[in-house]
Amino acid sequence: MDLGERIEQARQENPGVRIDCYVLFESHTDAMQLYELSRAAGLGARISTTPRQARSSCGVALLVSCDEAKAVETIALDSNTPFENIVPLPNQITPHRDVYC
Amino acid sequence: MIYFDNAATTCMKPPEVAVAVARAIDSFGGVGRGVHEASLDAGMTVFSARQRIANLFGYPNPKQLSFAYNATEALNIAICGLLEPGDHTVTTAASHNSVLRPLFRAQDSGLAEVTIVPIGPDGSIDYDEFEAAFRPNTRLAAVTHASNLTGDVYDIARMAEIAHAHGAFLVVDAAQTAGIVDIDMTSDNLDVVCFTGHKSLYGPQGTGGLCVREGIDIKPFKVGGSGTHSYDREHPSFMPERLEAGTLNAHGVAGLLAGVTYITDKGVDVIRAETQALASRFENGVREIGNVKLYGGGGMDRTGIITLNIGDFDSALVADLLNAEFGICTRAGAHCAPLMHEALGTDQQGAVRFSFSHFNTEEQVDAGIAAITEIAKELS
Repeated sequence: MDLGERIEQARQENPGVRIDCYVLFESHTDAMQLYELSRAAGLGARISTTPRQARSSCGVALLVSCDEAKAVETIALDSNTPFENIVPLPNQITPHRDVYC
Repeated sequence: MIYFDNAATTCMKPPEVAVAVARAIDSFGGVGRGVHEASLDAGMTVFSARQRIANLFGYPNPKQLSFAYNATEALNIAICGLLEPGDHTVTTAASHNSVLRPLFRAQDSGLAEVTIVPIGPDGSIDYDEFEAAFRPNTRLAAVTHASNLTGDVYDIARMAEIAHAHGAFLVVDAAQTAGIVDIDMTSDNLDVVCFTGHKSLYGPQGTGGLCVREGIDIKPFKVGGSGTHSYDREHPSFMPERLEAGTLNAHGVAGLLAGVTYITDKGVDVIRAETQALASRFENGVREIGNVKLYGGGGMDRTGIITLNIGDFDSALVADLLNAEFGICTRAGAHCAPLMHEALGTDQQGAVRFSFSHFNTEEQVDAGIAAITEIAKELS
């Protein structure tokens, strides 16, 4: 499946939940590079920890809107910035999550 | 104090260097050791430094730039990481001990043989002799871009062409040239450029590194914490982490980034021209003083170094007089360049090295000329 199909599948499997896309890397230097290029292109990327469901070689991921994931992928390919995968996952941040206290 | 020891460490830095280090000390986390604000601040700064420095060296890929703690460490990484048993290596008599000692250790342990290309008494190199030193098993030539004793600049593009014609790599010691002489890894076909941050890049001590052409595999001599692949038994195989282990000196790199940004904003050509003008002013001022001997000048260009002796007087005595009576900081002795001193005939006497920065002034240079005039008179 290509990226668009995987995003669509994630949306169907998680109705009503926002799907986020995580770009995974082998090296945090690659993450820094794609972050800088994506921001320079006006995309809303931010550096994030890698969710456990999307384990990668390095703990750093780039969190992007799935609506912009294809554009980020294009930037990575055009700039020869290596990445391992782009993984669509249900939104990991919820204000109603359990809080340890 | 008048500081003319910039070939050892630049003392006068752009003010933004100290500001950057102070900010980093108060705000940085570990590079690649988390994704919180403090870690990302450090990570982006280090990444920006990789970009800036790679760009300064004419290399397009910042991932090929690994940080080390100085040029000596970078040269050890490159030389030790490239050599295999039975290899042959080439260097020149202009080399600093940061090149010579790793090569001599390789030779003494039986790992590799070393051929040293002589340097002329004027600091010049014969490139035909350089080429003649290569053998079928020559793995690398490790050469200094400029002598730290005379400031003579050597033609590394030509050396790279020669090395490649013989199937060898060229490892460049750019300790004396990074930031003051143009270095273009792409157009000059350089394989590895090793640099230090605390000289003409205006960074803090404890910063340096190496830029490695893609496709060249250097075995890391230190492995350990990398922030990635933590469950693997082996250190990451990709650059730049391959040649870095343990927490980076991000505080220092922040200062280095500020120094390099200052250089690129001002222009290497401008800095070189201003520095050379001061060095020439000094050279012209001391040339005619009786009993003063000047060294070098046989290179294709020159950094901001002028080296001299007064008669046969101990260079340490002259440097001590300069310091104690005139408040002028220079460097006497052997300068970690034993073979260059032998080439110049100063291995017993040493020499007094004046190394200028574009932060020096003409008034300071004139004070240096006056001091040498007086000392020469006193010692005659």
